[in-house]
Amino acid sequence: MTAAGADITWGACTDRGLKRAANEDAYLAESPVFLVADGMGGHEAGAEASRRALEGFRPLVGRSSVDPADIEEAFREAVRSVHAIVVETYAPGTTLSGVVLCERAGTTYWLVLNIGDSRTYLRADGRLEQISIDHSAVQAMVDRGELSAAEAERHPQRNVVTRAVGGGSTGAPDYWLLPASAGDRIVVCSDGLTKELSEDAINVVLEAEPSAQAAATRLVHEALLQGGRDNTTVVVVDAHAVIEADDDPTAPADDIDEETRPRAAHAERGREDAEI
Amino acid sequence: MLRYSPGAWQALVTPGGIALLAPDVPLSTVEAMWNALPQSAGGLAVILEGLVGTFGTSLSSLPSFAVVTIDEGAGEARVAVRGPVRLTATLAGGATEQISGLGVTTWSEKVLSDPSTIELTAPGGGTAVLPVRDGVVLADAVRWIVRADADTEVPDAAPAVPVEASVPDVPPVAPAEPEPESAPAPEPEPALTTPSAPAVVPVPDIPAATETGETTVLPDFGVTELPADDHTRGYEDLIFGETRLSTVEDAAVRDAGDSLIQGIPPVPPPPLQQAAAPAVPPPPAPAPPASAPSDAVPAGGDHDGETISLAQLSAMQGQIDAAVAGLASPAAASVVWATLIVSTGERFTLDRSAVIGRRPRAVRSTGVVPHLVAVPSPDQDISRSHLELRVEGTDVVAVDLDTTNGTLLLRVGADPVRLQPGESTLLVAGDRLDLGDGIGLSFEGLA
Repeated sequence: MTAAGADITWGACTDRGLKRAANEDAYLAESPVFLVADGMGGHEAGAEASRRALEGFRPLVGRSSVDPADIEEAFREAVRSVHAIVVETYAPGTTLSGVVLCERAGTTYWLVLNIGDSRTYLRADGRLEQISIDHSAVQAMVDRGELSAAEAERHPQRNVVTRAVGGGSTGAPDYWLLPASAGDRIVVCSDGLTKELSEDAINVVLEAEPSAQAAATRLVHEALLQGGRDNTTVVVVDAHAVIEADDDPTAPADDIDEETRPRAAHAERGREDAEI
Repeated sequence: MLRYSPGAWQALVTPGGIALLAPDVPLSTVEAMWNALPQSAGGLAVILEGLVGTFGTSLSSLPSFAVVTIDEGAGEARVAVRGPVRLTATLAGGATEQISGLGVTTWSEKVLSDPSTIELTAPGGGTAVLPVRDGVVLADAVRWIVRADADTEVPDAAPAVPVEASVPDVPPVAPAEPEPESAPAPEPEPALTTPSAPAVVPVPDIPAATETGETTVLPDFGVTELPADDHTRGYEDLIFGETRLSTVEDAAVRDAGDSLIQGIPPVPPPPLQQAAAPAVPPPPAPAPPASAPSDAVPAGGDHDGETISLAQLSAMQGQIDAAVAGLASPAAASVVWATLIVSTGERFTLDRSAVIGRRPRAVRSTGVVPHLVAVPSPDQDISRSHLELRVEGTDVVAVDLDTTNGTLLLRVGADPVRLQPGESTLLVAGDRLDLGDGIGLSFEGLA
């Protein structure tokens, strides 16, 4: 499948878990849109909220090019649609996290968006990196230095999200734009996965399962084995080839800008070249 | 109608679900599953909890199984198969479907709609002919005839002894007697990840369960001792309970013990700044106004979520506009934004932040998707993400992103200065920036 100039495959799996009566999670995994939504609100409302939020992004499905304005509009539509759910109890809401493949300036990009405490990870060169930052009470405490990341894992308030689509929140999502590289693997998940499996355990499974679908299914099943206390949803997207405007496409795509040449050094090199 | 073929595996038969388990699953675990299966909405949950409680959470030690639960109302069967067990289903239209756990790291799951028969067969299993109604039998195959007219297996003249139940019909109290001659069950592990239950409840004074009705009573697994109602239960609910929404302040000021009783707060009024100035993109990390009085949000909320005032309801409905207004497209605003002019000729309206570089990458931008400006750098003077232009109101702030070669600020009437890496510099009219490799940035519309 080609999207935004990239050759990609993907897989998705969701399960209500072993303890919950219903699955309020949902996902949209149709190129170039790969999103997970974790609804809250009880009864049917949470499931309706996650489903509606994703529907806001459906107009982007199948598009070969997506502009930032399209994504912002999709998000506004998601907010409108979730707020329009008529309930007699507290307003239902949903998290939303994932990627939309975009092409910007001749390069394939992962546009990462997040609101709430579902997560988007990038796995590149065997390393799993959490891209999204949770909108949660414990993350806020971590940011203020009141809590270590380890303490946050077991903190009583770790179910409390501070921003959501609907649910009485007027918060905006966070966006990231990351240049895609061949070999990138994106993992989008609801907190049902990250409450049950450590990042190391997730990375081991991602290493062991080369197929995106097998990886998604296996992660959900592993979460069930660890207790499956919450709805669990995983979407995995693999980029096999991408387009890169960069004149040095072989360079590693990590944060370290190691191939930028110090000016003095390549002035030196220039002289050597001249001598040859 | 159910039939089985005698063998070494263990077939659990109940009116709502059946399972076939590897011979090494201890009887106490099998019996607990058999007791739990009819009461559970999810057969797989019963099997997984039983097996994990006995064998641990590692996939390598998880025995083979197959489990089928039928939802007659929906006319569908949920099936899961792990290992070499083969599931063969005949569907209403006469089609057959085979499912095996072979080649799958965990197990295969499927929902079959309108099945006529479902047969589970262990490796080398025979033909299921002996009838069974409810119980646990040693078997290598078991067949569930969902539609009576699909029962083609008419027993021959020699009548098989009907098996009512091979497990004595005693009240399902955890048996105190030792394991039978079968391999002793491994030392049971605590089924939950909580470290061995501390003598002191970690978070005191917490109701044993949330009132959301989401707590499922665990089946009694006898020797495996799932902590169905011990004092760690409240903590588990706390940790694994339903996700709640709260403002940062609400959440932060609460004592840990309060968190169970907070519903989704009854929608505080939208922050004024968003309603009043929708045109301005939100600051990077907008915190809800600290002025929200804490008593505006009753600490307890309406926990069961069943009651709400009319005012609350209309407040919520009125929020639609506010919520969307807070996300208004910057383009809709009447504000005049500055324009970035790259020496390559490209122009960008600075209604949103921008990252400029050889292969730029944008980190966490709240509310709007930032511009990415890729510039050529044949000598690779310019870093991948070299410079960020942050738009704050109508101001534009330049930040050198810790680059190798730096960024020069050329200000009218001043000597060129190198931007301090990572530090914000407010740009003023006439400022230009030199990124190296012949790439320069200039601006229109700066104050």
